[in-house]
Amino acid sequence: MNKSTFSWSRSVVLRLVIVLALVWLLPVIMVVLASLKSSQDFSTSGFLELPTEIAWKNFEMFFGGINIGQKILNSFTISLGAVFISLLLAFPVAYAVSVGKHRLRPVVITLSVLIFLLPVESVAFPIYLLSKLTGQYGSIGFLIMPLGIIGSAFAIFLLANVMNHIPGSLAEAAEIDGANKWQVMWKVVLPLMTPTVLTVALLLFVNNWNEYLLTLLLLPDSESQTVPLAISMVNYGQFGGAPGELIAAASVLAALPSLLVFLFFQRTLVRGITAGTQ
Amino acid sequence: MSTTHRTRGYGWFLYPGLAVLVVFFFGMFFWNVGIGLLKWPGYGPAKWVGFDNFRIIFENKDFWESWAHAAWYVVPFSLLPTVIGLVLAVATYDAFVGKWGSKMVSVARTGFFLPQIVPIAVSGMIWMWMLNGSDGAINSLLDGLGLGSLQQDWLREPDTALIAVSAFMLWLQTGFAYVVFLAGLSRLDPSIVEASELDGANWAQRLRWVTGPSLRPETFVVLLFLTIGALKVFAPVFYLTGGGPYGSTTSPATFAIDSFFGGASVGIGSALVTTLALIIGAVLGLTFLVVKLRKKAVAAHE
Repeated sequence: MNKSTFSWSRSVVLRLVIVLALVWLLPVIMVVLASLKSSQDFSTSGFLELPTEIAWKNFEMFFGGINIGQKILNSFTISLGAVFISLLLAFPVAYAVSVGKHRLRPVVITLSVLIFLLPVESVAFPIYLLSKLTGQYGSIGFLIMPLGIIGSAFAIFLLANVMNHIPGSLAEAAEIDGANKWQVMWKVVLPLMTPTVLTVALLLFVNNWNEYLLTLLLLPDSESQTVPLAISMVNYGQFGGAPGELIAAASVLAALPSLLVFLFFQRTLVRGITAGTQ
Repeated sequence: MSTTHRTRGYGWFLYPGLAVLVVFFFGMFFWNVGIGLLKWPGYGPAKWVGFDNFRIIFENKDFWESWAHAAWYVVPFSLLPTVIGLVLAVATYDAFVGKWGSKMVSVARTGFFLPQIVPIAVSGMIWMWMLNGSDGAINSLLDGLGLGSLQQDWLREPDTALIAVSAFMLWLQTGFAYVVFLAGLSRLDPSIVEASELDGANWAQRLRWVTGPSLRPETFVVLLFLTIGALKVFAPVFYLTGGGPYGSTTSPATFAIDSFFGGASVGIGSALVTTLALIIGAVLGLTFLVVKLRKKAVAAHE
């Protein structure tokens, strides 16, 4: 194969990949376009046509009627609270089995993978019963607990994998200098692990933000609902069969935080996912 | 300081977090297993019925149908995304060898990976809207292409609903395989690829002999994660069709959740979820056994 045919085939392959990626993006592009169209514009224009004028009022409705502000606050409280619990539980465990070379390492890794892969449905109903028994049904604080604990399985697995690359001699040196294990974890290991901790936090945040099952089971009130669920009500529940441009606006609002996290931290997220597979 | 001395004293770091996770998760898990042995509507008195619920389940043809769907979903949720993700990643790598900063890679990665980030409650809504029978985007597109005869009320017909859910799954999961393979390829030494190019290996030959084999560990993990994901799939089915029409798209998980809240019996729901967890546990156990045996065989061979 000579050089020119080679670069020709290369540019064809390249174009195919990009075209396919754009096809993959089409649903999202269409929904963003639709969310900006007035209802008349929406019914007359094609799916890929630009809006004739931008109709912000599609979005305004959600800040009045279904009080999206409250739901955004709920979602942030739940997602961040659960991330915090997961990291608090997981970091010392990962430290003990990685830097500490604890002999239970294989058991810990196996258990965390197992819990990560088992369906959340297999624990969902007892968690619901627990909330009823303790009188915490409907409480946002209670939902944070199972989300945080179950999330710690993934966090242990990923942190322990990455932390294993920290040389043991580093901790040894710090201990010879008189630091105890607690200080080594805080002052030596944590600073080195900050990028990974951030990655895990972002992945868990997106996961919690998008969570549906436990949220659906544990939060019956519309005041305590999270954004994705409140938004899906636009389509299924009280607004059943809402106009397309409103559904589109609702979709854009509900996906926005995850999308922003993705756009700003794309590399970090991808690095985390791939670290989890090694 | 000896190594044995240094590695002592980490129990305080290990046990609290591990205990919370294991006690909570398996506490809830076995509570659920226990409920599976009861005849109980979810409130009031319960009656111990042992394995009766499992007998009832196994005699229910909807249960077997949900598993037939699960077996089918392995294709669009796991096998196709893995193959397509692999080919796309290798193509991307080939086209950009040594030029990782290129903007186009990040366009491609965003396109394929975005479905992993959008809440499924939301992307399900978008797809419902696209697949709408009267004026959805898919039907408009078919019309525009002069294929108006292929128009369907996609989510209302059992056959087309299964295809629609499958397409949705493919859209969702390809990005996961793609980014994992892309990252795996970035480890590859570009000089090896260049050498094989100079030796005249074409694209397919390189995939077969150079890039493909180097991605074996990634392929294993992607296939394992996605296959388990397919067996326990809930949200893509729940938000696109809810298992309908006429139960034509149910998955074991949506079937179980319906039994919990469809008013039938919580005992049956628990037994269904237990069955799902056991099957996933068995798949994992078998996989690790095979991996271990292979490692042993390789070690013995050397």
